[in-house]
Order: sequence, then C-alpha cells, then structure tokens
Amino acid sequence: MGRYDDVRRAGGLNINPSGGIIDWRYLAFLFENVDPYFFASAGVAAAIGLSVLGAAWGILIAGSSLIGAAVRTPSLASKNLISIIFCEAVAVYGVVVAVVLSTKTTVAPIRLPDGSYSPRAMASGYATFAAGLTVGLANLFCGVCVGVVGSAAALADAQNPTLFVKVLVIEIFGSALGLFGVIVAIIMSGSIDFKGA
Amino acid sequence: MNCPEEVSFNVKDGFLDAALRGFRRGLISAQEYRNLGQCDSLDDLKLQLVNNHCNTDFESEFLNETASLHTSTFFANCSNKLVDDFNRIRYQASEPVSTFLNFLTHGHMIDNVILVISGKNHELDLKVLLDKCHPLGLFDSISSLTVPSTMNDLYRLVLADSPLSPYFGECTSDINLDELNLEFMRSKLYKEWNQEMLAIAYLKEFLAFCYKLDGGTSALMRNILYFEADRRAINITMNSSGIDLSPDSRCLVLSKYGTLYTRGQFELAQFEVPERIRAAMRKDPTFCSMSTSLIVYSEDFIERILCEQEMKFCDTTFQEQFNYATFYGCLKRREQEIRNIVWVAECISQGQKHKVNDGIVLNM
Repeated sequence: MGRYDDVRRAGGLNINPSGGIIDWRYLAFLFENVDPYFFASAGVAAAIGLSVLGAAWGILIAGSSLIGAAVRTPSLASKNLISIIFCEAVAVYGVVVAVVLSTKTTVAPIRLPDGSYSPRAMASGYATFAAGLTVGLANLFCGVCVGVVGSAAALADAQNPTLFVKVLVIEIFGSALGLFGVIVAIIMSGSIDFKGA
Repeated sequence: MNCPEEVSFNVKDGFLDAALRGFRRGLISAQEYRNLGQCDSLDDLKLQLVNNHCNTDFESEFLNETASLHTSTFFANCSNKLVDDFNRIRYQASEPVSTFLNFLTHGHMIDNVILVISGKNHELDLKVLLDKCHPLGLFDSISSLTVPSTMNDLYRLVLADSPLSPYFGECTSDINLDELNLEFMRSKLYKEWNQEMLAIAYLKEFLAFCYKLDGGTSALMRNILYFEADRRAINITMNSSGIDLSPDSRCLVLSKYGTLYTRGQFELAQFEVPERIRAAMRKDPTFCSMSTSLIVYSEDFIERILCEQEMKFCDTTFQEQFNYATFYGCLKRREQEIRNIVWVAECISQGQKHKVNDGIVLNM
C-alpha cells in the first residue's frame, strides 16, 4: 500500500481538491490499484455473458415467431430452425473467445514494491477486458439482429414460401457481424502476456 | 418498457402475430375464386371449398353438413369457423392485445344492438333477430335487449353492464339535442342516426386506445380508423340522399375526425347531386385516386371501391411487423372472404355465374 501511504502522508485523503463532481486523480489512483487479474476475469465474463444474452434474446424473438407461424404450416418449423442455429452460433463465438481469453490469464501478477503493478501486467488486464467487452457487445447486438431477421424470415415464409431464401441471405449477413467482433477480440488478445509481466 | 418494438414485441405477442400470417396464407386467392366460379351447383362449391386446393379452413365444418345447402349455410359455417379462430387467438392474448381484440368485436356488437332494437320496434321475433346477429358481436345480455321500453331504461338495465356502455354513455349524454333528434326521427333516419353516433363514439375510443400503443400500431391504426370514419361519412351521406335534411344537421351525424373531416366533409354534408361526393373525395389524397375511377356513379360502385381501399389498408398491415394492426387486418380480410364466398354461392344458386367476378373484392 505504498502509494496510498504517500497520498495520506501528503496531507490526508483530501476528497476532491479540484472541486469538481468527480475527483479524477483519486479515481485513476483507484484503478491503478485494481488487480489486472480482476480485469481479465471481468473480460472473460463479459465475453461469454453478453454473447449468451444476445443469443438467448435472438432465439426468443425468432423462436416465438417461428412457433406461431408453424401453427398453420408445420413444414416451416424444420426449415426455419436455421434461424435458431444462427442465433446459437453467436453464443458459440462468445464461448470461443472466452476460452481463448481465459487460457491466457494464467499467472496472477505480483505487486511491485510500491504497491502498483507492472505496466505489462496492467496492459494485459486491460486488453483482456477490452477484448471481452468487444466480443460481448458485438455478439449481443448481432444476436438481436439475427433474431429480428429470423422472425421476419419465419413470417415471410408463412405468407410466401419463395421469400424464405431471400430473407435467409440477409440473415447470413447479419450473423457475420458477430464475427467481426471475434476477429478484433482475437487480435487484441495477442498482446495479453501475464507470464512475461 | 422503452426498448424498441423489435426487441420487446415478440416476448409477449410474437406467437400470435406469426399465427396470423398463417391465416393470411389460407385466404382464397384470385385464381381459386375463378375456380370456385366455375362450379355448377352449391354441392360442387362445397366440394371445391373442402378440397385442399382451396382454403382448408372450412373442411371440418362442411363435412358435418348433410342438410340441403343454402347460401346461408355457407355464411353460417364460415363465420363459425372465423369466430372459432378469433376466440382461439383471443384466449391466448395478453394485455394489451386482448383489449385490442375486444375492440374489434365492439363494432359488431353495436350493429347487433341496433338490429335487435329496431327489430323490436317492428315487432319481429327475438329468435329470428338473434339468428341475424353477427356471431362475433354476441354478448351475454343481448337477449334481454328487448325487455326495456325507453332508451334510458335500455341503457340503465342492459347496456350499462355490457362492454358497450362507454359508447352509449357518451351518446346519451350528447343527446340534449332534442329538436335535432326529432328531425331525424321524422326523417326515418332514426336508426342510422343512433348507429352512427355509436359508431363514431366507438371509433373515437378505439383510436384513443391505439394512440396509447407503440408507434407502429398507432400510425397504422390511425390510417385505418380515419378511413373507416370517412367511409361511414360517405355511406351516411348516400343513405340520406333522398331525405330532406339541412346540411348542418347532416354534419352532426358525420364523424368529427378522419381525413375527410378537415378537407371535404362540408361538401359531403351538402351532398345533393352525385357530383358533390366526388368533389368532396377529390380533396383528399386517399380518395382522390378513387374519385377519378368513379366514372359510373352508383351506390354499389362507391361501396365496392371503398371496400377495395379497405382491403388495401388491411394488406399493408401485413407488410409490417411488430404491431397490432395485423390483428385488425387479418380479421377484416377473413370477413371479406366470407362475403366473397357468400356472393359466389349466391351467384351460383341464382344461375348468374357471369356476375361472379363483379362482387368479389380482394387485394393480394
């Protein structure tokens, strides 16, 4: 707790000396002292959690329309399962990235004598967090997008079966969005290096 | 609650909305109507309808029918099926769809109430009257409608408990216009006058309800209900054409909203010659295209054009997703389909098959 002691010795924790609503220097001080391992774990949690939220929401949207449309045309249910699978793929992206990230967060970083962490370890923690958030948010919105288009596909199929393939093409483009997030997250995770810290 | 409709709509209403799309596919197409028109007898027509090429909606209903066929049998069977389907949807609906669906039946209830009351005035048998009522508009206390003798008693004893009470309440409070009432009574328009006042109150309530719903629903329903109000205005004008009424009192029967209200209603109220109605319609974009096609002026023709326009509106509800207007559109399409089938049956039974295509209104 070296730095904290420094701050205290220099006149106590003067909350908000600048007079603003947020004391940015104190906030930065807090962040510096958060364990990079916490950021890494939060990144993994965001990657899988938000992806599954997106996928589940998409399945909810597409699934309810699919079931309703299948009341009068049962044959449509099996054909439109592809929408559900597309939504499911979104969750799989999240799982893949979460696994990659969590295999990289191996060794807990050690505090330096002054209580802070090495820049290497902090960079790794932030990179993991950002990568997780990237893939999580990308997949959340991708999942909702695929769900909405998937429900439109089911409805279009119910009204006019020739439309199904056309809407499916749109759906494929929608599901590609999540992949962009995955690519960026994988590139970001290249800089994670807890062992070298 | 403020998340966009795309994300939140399907949580509660996705199933029902999608189920309606299935109903739409079951509607009889133009080609199938042509095939139906080729039938030689009502038995043939029945077979065609039961046949899988056509709408299978009627299958189970028709198989049980062994008695000799009338056009009324077709109507009864088809509307029973419609009521079944409607109720099936309604039982699964949650708020606010269930309220929306209830509103859809109120229009028929009003017609039924007016039918029973005016039938009673002509001393017709209650059972005959109830048979004539639209099955969607039946409610528990409808058979006791004939008991009270004055309008006040009627409202207090029967209608106060029915779903229609708000509309009647508004009407009866509005009727301090005794002289006007008398004028209408004298002009034998009394029935229309009541019906019109009720319908306007109903449309107003319905519209107010729709405005409370999400953006897509209120925008679509606004168009549809405005059109409905305009249609009523045109109809009442046509019905009262032979009757001596001042333009001012005519204006009172016409609804106080709708696209024609601002633009052409006064012309409509002064309607004496066919040209007038066209002039009124020309002022509004929706009706403008229709008025140009009004080459032959006749009530049937206007009726038909208005009907086609309504079907167009109903069809646009299917082009959009995540709104409740689809429920309205689907019901109206099904009702029109029943009218079409009855028309075909009528043509066949009267041996006037060349007229089959004249009476069918559809817009695919």
